[in-house]
Amino acid sequence: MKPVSLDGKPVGPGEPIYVIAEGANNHAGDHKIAMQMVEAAATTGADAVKFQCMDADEFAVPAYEWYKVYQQLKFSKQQWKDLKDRAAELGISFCVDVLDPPSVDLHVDIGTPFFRLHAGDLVNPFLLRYAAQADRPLLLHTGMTTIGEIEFAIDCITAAGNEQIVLLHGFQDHPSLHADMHLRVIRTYQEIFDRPVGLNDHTTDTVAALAGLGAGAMAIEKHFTTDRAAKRYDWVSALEPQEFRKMVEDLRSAETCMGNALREPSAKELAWRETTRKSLVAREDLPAGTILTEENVAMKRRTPLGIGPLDAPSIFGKRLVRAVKRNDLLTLEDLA
Amino acid sequence: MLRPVVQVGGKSIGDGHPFFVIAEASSNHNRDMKTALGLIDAAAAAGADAVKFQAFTADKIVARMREKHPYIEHMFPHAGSMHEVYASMELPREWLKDLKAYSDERGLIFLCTPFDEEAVDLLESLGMAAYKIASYELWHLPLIRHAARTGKPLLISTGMGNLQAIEEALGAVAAEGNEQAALFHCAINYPPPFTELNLRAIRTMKTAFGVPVGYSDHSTGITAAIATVALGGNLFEKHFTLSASMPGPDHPFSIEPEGLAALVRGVRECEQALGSPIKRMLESERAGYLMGRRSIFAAADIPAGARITREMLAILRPGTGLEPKHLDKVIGRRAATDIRAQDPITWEKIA
Repeated sequence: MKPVSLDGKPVGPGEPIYVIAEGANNHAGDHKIAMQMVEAAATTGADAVKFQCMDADEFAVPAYEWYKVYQQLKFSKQQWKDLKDRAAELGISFCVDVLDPPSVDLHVDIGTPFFRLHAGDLVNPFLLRYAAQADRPLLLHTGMTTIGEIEFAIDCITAAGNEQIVLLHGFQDHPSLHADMHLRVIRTYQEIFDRPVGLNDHTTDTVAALAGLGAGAMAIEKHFTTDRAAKRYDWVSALEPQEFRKMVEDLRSAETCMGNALREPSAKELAWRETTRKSLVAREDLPAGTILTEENVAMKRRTPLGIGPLDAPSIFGKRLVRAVKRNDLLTLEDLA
Repeated sequence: MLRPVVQVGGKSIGDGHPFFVIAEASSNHNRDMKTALGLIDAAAAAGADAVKFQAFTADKIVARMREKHPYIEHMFPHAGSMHEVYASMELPREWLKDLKAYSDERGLIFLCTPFDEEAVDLLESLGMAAYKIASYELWHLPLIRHAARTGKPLLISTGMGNLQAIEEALGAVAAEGNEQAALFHCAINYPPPFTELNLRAIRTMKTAFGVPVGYSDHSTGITAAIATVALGGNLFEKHFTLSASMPGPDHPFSIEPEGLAALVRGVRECEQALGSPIKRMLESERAGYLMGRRSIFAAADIPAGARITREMLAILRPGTGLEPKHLDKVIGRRAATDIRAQDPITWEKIA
């Protein structure tokens, strides 16, 4: 599996998990709020902050229930660029969902380094091809889709000459329930598509994100807001900055926990051997001349270690040349 | 820390590298130089990566006692002792230099299993690329340590071994500061039945130890070799002989030159055949065999403007047109043009 580089950071096996703070449309069209979100996201340890970009008239028909909202969400090219530049200043990558061709054009123009395609577009070869031709990494949100549809989307993108694909597993509902997560699918995707796979987490807590890391996710996308109580948009499963920071910290800790697959006792464990493994001692006061047996020899903890239970056969049946007191270590010097 | 890939004679052994095949001549030279050279020729002709002999001496391998291993008893009913049997099979050590030179000439990596420390020293002076440790010596930690100190990779067979024995052997290698060891899973028995091969243990050993793992094969034929490749194994060792009917304990279960060539061919074919995990139509299939799939055709003449019914359509070869899954989208629409019977239906012909 080849890693995919998102704005200079590789996403793939053995790489640190890539965390995206999904601002979505939580700014409600207020550029100041969007700017605050970028600034807040930069304090969480997330690798990237993401919004959704659409051109209302290219994206939906006026009769569609959210059309008017889409109109209100519109930012100018300069406003998008300001967000992206602010993110760069603060050292966090900036990316967007491109929901229609004009949004692709806009973000190519301002140099947004990678895009995500919404699950709703995985069966839309026109937008897939168009975004693929922008020649930058694409995250594919695979909610709602089947394996065959994901294959179709990948084929559309690769046929356009773009191999930089990261799949995001995730259930498309707000919020998602734990029972809807099916994190084992992450491995399924990795096996059948041989590409980096992440998790799009729409649950309200961080259990799935952490478990997702354990299940092999190489990226995590989680909704982000500066003010959940404001209930703007996409707030239901969003974390506030402090919560998001905690999740990122927990993810980094979980990553550390994953460690190495080879079973090798650590230096600390080896030290524990010294105090918890057992040594052969006299079970009772043993006079000189006693033949050592399993009955009169006990295996007990003591420090420092003496002859251990594995080497008991080398002293059983031997005669003591001197008396050994109860609980005293049995040594080769005690034997004939 | 042992490495996931080891370097033997300029070749890398491990995941992502070509499968490494060792033709094991063992004692099948029958102490005849011409036979020994013939074995090297056969290994080279078969395309093996390496040829291997064994360096033991009766005095250093076995106590002088009367008991004989049942297999040896069966093979050598008249021998007085195991010592006598080993003595009769010793590879004259003065041959090693010439055998190695001949292997080098034939482009084969020359390997030889040392069964005592002196053998290691002698082989080291001849410039070995690696040392094989026989299954029986998995518990001979002093020998393993001595071989490990050469700094050359150790290729360790593990017949009869469990994880603990392997762990202790690998620990001995690592403790000498040697980071290169590969393992062979192995079922001893001459030959073992296929039910005793337990080739899945190759995966177990890879997971447990993180080093290259292969199979050292005493079974008959080439099945185990192909399966080892398919299971993700990295190396393989096969006993071979110029003729299975020659006298000696290893001949009966050894493969003959033709079989060895078939084994190497099979291994290389299997490596290629494993290919990519991605399930897709190949370009060669698209070019050559789309003709065999089906498309939607006109079953009768359809005049322009006519509303198309199921009866007007047939699903026929070739598969270069509209896929059959579109049938229900075609039915009920009007013909944009006159469509003749047996013509393919295309969206252009539909209003």
